[in-house]
Amino acid sequence: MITPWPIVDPRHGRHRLAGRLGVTGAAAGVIAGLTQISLGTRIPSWTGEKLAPVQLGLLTIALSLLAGAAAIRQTRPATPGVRALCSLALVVPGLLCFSTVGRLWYFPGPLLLAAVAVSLSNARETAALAVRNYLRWLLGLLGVAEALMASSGPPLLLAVGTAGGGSLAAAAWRGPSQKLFPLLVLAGSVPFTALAWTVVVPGVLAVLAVAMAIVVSHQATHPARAGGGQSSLTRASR
Amino acid sequence: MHIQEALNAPINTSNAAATAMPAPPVSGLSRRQVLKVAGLGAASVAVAGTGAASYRVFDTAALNPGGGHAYDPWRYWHGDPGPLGAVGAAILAASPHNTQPWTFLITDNDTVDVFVDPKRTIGSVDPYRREQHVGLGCAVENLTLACQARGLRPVVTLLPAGDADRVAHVALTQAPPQGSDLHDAISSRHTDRGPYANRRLSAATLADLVDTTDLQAVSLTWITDPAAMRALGQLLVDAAVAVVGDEQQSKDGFAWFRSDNDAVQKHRDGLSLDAQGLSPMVLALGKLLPASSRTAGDTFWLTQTRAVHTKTAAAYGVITAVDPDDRLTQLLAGRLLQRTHLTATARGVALQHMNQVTERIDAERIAAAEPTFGPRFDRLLPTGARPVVTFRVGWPSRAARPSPRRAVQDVLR
Repeated sequence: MITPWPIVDPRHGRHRLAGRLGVTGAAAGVIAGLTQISLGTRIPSWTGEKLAPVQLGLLTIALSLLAGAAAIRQTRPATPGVRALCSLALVVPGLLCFSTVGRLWYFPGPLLLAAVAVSLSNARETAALAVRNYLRWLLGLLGVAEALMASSGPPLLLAVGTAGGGSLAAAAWRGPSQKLFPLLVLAGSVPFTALAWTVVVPGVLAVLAVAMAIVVSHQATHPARAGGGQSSLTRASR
Repeated sequence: MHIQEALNAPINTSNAAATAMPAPPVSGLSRRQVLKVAGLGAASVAVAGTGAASYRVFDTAALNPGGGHAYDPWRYWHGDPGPLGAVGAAILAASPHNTQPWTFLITDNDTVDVFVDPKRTIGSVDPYRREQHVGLGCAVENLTLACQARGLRPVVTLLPAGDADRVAHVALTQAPPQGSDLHDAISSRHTDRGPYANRRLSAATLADLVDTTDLQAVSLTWITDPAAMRALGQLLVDAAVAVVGDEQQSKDGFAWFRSDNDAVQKHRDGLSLDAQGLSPMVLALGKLLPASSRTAGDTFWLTQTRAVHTKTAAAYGVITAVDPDDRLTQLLAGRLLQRTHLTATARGVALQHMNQVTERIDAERIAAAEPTFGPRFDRLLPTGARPVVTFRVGWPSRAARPSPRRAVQDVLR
């Protein structure tokens, strides 16, 4: 079995740096949450003038603690799934809390996102091995994102978006060796974008999906240049 | 090879590269690997960002503006029979900041009483609760139209004796159903805060919008003269600046702003992004961005007032009365306002309520400050007429969207 994300040696310097950035960002996030709770109504221009500063402060603290735990966990040996979850637990608070504590997040937010970026850049050993599958996973995630968007839409968008998300996921799963691959990618992105273009995000998603599909197809036809001709996701999973 | 020959010889770039850079850098990362890792990192960030934005689309229901239970009353009101159906129409009336300050009591299917909900106010924005009672008058107007359409002849008594919170008693008797354009327009009537088309409204069209039958205590003044319109436009902008500068008014107004779909669906009242008259793309982007702060909301309102509301108005309407503090007058003004708005909707004319000037008049009065807005407004109105509510009209350039409504069950006593 091919493991696209091998366990990474956490003693690597960049991992330590990522951990420190994450922990510092999380600590600053907790302070930001406490500030929102205690001073939110007194310094509204800094805290985003929220109507519910206590609740948002508590949410910020909870998310910061989650990010801190993820940053600490990331400095220890981890399976690919755990590493992915750690990255997610850093990214989500890093982005979401910009809307909970206003300017107070201008310091912790970038630190958490930087921790993810450093962590990713440190994954060169795994990235070199998993480049094809990784992009296909991302393509599959785009399918999930499209289905998520569609789930809040009216019936027509719900149907088109769900089918489109499924198409992207199917394309990611089956891989570029399938003749239907380009068709699945286009069917998964274009109709939904045509119906929901005013929301912008479907268009961005479509551009990303097509770009990734092109890269994935290119890698399949040039396996040597792509870094070793990995097996497809379906084969890897067996 | 001779040096000169070597300089003149064609260079095989691939071979040259192969000989010049035969091995990876000392760091262990080849250029290709660096690019690959950078590409994967960029793709990851892009997908993460798209995923986060997708969640915002989901969370804000940006793909489905006007969807969800909060908007159900607009869809399921027409077919319900009897007084309950009429109440379903009444709750679709206009109210200040969409506070919906009403409750209803149906007794034996032959009377409907309308009560003020004293808790649903906009505080310092409406200190004398004038706008609140105008909103109640709007509900009474819808109620009477809906009763007539359902074969119930309404006899309305405003401010009946007894309960101080009861503002109207409507006695119902059986009669032939009497539909009307105004009744059919009830679910299409929305405040249109968007830009209006650059087309004038004729005097005949404006006159056609006004019907003061049974509403003798109030009248409607149209302001169409360009100079007067400029003056009122500036007055509206100045009043908006003053409201924004008054922290209490700003806070009391913002308290009714529902910044995300969860709040809209939970409270089913107040102001929302959907009803701000934005283009579909701007509306979607506005929803995807983090929740608006009070300051940002104030700035947006000021900008819209300057650049859209006053700039594109085809005419202003002012409902006036001799005594705007009188509760009965306020209820009658509400009925006239709703009737005018429904007529405008039936004729394809857009309307937006703009009450910041009277709100500042009230604020100066309650603070015992030197009146500044009152005298300026009085100069634009007929002698002796005092403003109760103000609005702008014009031809719409895009469809207005509904505002959330509480269910009938939530407003019945």
